[in-house]
Amino acid sequence: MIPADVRATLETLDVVTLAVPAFVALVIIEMIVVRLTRRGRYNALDSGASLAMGLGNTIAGVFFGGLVVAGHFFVYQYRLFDIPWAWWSLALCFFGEDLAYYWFHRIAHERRWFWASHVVHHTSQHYNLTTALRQTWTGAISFSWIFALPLSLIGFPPLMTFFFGGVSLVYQFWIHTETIQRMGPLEWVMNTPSHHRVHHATNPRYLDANYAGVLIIWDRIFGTFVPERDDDKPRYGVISNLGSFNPFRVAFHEWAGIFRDVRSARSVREVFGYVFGRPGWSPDGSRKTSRSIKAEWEAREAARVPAE
Amino acid sequence: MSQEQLLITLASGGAVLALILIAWALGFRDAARVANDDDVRRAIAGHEPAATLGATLIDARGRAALAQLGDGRFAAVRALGDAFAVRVFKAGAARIRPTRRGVIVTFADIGFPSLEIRSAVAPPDWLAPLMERRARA
Repeated sequence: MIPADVRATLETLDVVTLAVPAFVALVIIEMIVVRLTRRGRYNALDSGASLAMGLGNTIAGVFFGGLVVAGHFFVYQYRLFDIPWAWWSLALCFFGEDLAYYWFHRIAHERRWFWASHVVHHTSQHYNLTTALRQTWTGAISFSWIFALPLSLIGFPPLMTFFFGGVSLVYQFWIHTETIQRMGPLEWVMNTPSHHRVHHATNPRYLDANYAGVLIIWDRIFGTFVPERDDDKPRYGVISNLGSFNPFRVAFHEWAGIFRDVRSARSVREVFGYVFGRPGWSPDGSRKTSRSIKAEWEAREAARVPAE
Repeated sequence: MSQEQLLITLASGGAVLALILIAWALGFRDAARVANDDDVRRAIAGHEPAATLGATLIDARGRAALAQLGDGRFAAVRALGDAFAVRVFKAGAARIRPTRRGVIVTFADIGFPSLEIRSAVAPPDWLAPLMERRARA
């Protein structure tokens, strides 16, 4: 067991709020490094949009965060085991939360309902520490948090899960940078700036890759790991570029797209496809999904290689 | 919202403004501009490397452009901060309205607001398919 005071600290620690001053300091340091070295890019308007999304995410958390807490404690009533606060359970919870994050993140890219919230984080064409703060306003009300519920069902105390969720968010902040290249052996196990640049890239080679939170091992295990290549510099953003810095357009454009598509649907199957299909799904296959774009690119590459 | 939450939110808002001002002061305020066909070609190539460029209509202020692609599709290019936002679309996915100063292009997607393209010349013929249809996607 862990000492009572340590447990009390972990139960009440809001690691994300505590980290905010460090976020601000690191953004300023990165801006100066980019200015001096020209490694990486900043734009005041783009960063303003990202930071406004981060602020809105905090406000949304105040209003809707209770839903997440209530959901976890509801499920915890039906837990399979009574898992105590102990060093071994902390270690297990860390791995469990990181695995749950991997699957949340993967599904958030593969299913439009969850993508409508998560797309916000990918709308910047820049990749810097302010991009990390470009966060959704609709994650709680669209139930993006359900992927961590199995931890509460198994019997991990919800406050333990929330603690590691916060740790994961704080960890993922610093990897949104172009100022750090490769990190040696850490690249094998940890999610790093290089791995996460791949995740944010729209180059066909890099689509649907590197969903990890803290540990990149999950991508290696589940076959979604793609390494960054020096001959294919990442281009950031989303496949259909967002054309606005307006935070409300950033927050709601994909939800509006779902609404528009559902209104034009001609069957239940189409409604289901537009809401829960892959982003880009259409009844006649006329729109492109990340999978079809990658397949087209692979076909082009395969055709090109023998000719060279 | 409790008083503490309100204070944290206000402080966060202050920090956001401070960071934007610092970015501005450090000179991160470049504005992209579409000056000619090469700019349009570069912007579209960053989005769809295999696309070939046909005719173009470029905003006199350099803020946007419309292009016809080799495969019959169209592309809208918008200067957005120091980058270009590109939207490739088929006829029917955007609506064009002529104005006294040029054209206004409207997309159904709220993520890509209307574009105004000012031009001294009349809308070219290749835009006709866009002027006659309503936006669908």
